[in-house]
Amino acid sequence: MKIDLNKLMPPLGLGYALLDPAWQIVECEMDVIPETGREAITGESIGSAFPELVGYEPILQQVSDGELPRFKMENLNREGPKGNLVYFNLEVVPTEKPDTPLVVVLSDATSLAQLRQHIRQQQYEMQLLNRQKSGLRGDSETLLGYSEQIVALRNLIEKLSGIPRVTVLIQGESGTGKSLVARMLHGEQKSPFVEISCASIPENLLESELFGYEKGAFTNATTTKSGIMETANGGTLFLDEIGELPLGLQAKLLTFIETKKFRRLGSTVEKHVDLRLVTATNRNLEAMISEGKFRQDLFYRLNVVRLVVPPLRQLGEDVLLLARHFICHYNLEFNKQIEDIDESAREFLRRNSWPGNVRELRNTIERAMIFCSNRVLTAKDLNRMQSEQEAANTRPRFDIPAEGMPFAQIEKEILINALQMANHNQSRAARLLHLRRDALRYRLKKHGLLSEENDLQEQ
Amino acid sequence: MQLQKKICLLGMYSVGKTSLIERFVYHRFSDHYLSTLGAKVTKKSLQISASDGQQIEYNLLIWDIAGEETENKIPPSYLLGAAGAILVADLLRPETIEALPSVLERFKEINPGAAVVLAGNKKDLLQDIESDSKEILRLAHQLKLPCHLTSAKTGCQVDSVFSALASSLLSRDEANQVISPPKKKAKTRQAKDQKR
Repeated sequence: MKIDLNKLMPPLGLGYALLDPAWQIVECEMDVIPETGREAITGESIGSAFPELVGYEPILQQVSDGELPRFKMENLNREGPKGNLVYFNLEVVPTEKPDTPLVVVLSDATSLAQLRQHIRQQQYEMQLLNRQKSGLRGDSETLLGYSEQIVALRNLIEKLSGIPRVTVLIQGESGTGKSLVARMLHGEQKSPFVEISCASIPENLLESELFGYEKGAFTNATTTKSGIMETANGGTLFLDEIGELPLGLQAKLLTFIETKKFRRLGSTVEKHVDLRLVTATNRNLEAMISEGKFRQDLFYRLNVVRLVVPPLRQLGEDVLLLARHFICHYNLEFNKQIEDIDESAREFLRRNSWPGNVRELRNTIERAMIFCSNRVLTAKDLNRMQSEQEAANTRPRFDIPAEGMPFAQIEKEILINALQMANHNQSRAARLLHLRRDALRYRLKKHGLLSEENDLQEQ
Repeated sequence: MQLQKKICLLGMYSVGKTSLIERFVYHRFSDHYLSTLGAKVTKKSLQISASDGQQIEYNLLIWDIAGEETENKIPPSYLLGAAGAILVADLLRPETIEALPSVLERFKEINPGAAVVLAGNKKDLLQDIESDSKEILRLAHQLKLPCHLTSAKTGCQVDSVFSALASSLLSRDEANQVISPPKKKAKTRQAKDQKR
């Protein structure tokens, strides 16, 4: 029975191309997928009509010889004339006819493929966003920058992170990233990283937080609780702001460092833990030792290796790198599309002394991005807070010289300022200084500021 | 002389395979990320001089194959009959570089004699090229493969990476005597014949 492919295939939504033994097209119907084919391709070689099959000649031969039952490729796509993508499946099937041994069957896969593409697009975008976010905040966080100090610090951290039990003291100004350094030292181990700020917990609670307590150890100890020393067992304990640790606890910590043992509050049983101790401070511990506020012996125990995190003002062009990093971060956070910073902003970033370091820079960028509606951040965007502060600070200031100055002189200057602000209206000047008008006049007279002109103006 | 070759662009998703092809074939770039599903074939001719000075025109059938999270998900049928491949990684995503050896292994299982070149893409986004390209260059050295740092956005090194692959194809075709062997060898043969 002769099957007329032209009558069979199109009603099934299929296109086809019948091939001769030299893989030339002898008959075809491609209307079901108009964008993939041309009007007439009869007589063309298979490779010319279907570039997707170039290189597959041995496979075609295998199908023709019956060594392979059929050969199929799914989701091939071509660009249609309007730029739209058309997806199709292609299947090479034997016909068992010597003069036309193969037929290439095409089926339109666009609708299903578009759905799959859409899902895949969402999945990949989510993965990329999550990766970006975790890169900004997560475990893979690292000290950004290429300045000499940062590169040296990164190298040192890398070396130290391979030595699991070495005690490290991190010093640096507030906002430089001491906590980040501690996390980097810990690395991406599965062991615990426990962080506690000695300044954030009241002195009377700090001891129980660190060492834990037994039920009944004190009035409200209704249950037994393990401390963070135990939680950090096998990992890293990071004590931030170690300079704020009360003297009494300093002695306990010293004992723990020396013996690796401690007792919970209210317990007589010694517990042993094995952890890496990392501490950080922005205080000058040597100065605190000389003032009797920090134990020298503890300092020596903590200061086995000291890492100094440099302030942002010393990091040169790294400030620009960090600014761009935060822009990426807040673009994700605020769903914005700020691309870069202009020259004025770069100059502002370089010129600023950043007393609050990276934390201040981060807040500056965050604030600027909240209000910025353009694609590029300018110095004006970054300077918003400073301008507001400057505007708020326009009230007169009196700088007292080192040698001191008489109070009468200060009083006189205040009176002059008030008169100027009130446009020499005494009633208004009095209100500005929260004085009665008579009281103001008395003081003006005392300082020889009540001229006839003033009086006349007033009257 | 004209030769038709199938080449594949392989690598994880969103490394810029489609963008590299768009840049190389149509000289255009779009920031908009559109993930590829399946495979798309694009044609482009590239002329290259053989060692005997003969101009060889390679009609490249460039297969843009959807990047997958794992190389196992790529249907082998897409890779069949390829003469070469460009393995692409995103220089900013280390995992895309780490994925390349297994992608290479999979490709070579199907096409053992094929030419391969590495491309570290998105060079324009690097802050410190030397440091950020260290990994892919180390891998290229380890795998003994040529490597180009490309940017589909700026066009940097895009033509070079395709030319490098074409050069590798040419070397193979010369070695397999698909095209006339290099002159030097011909001379040696002539000399031998004369001696006889």
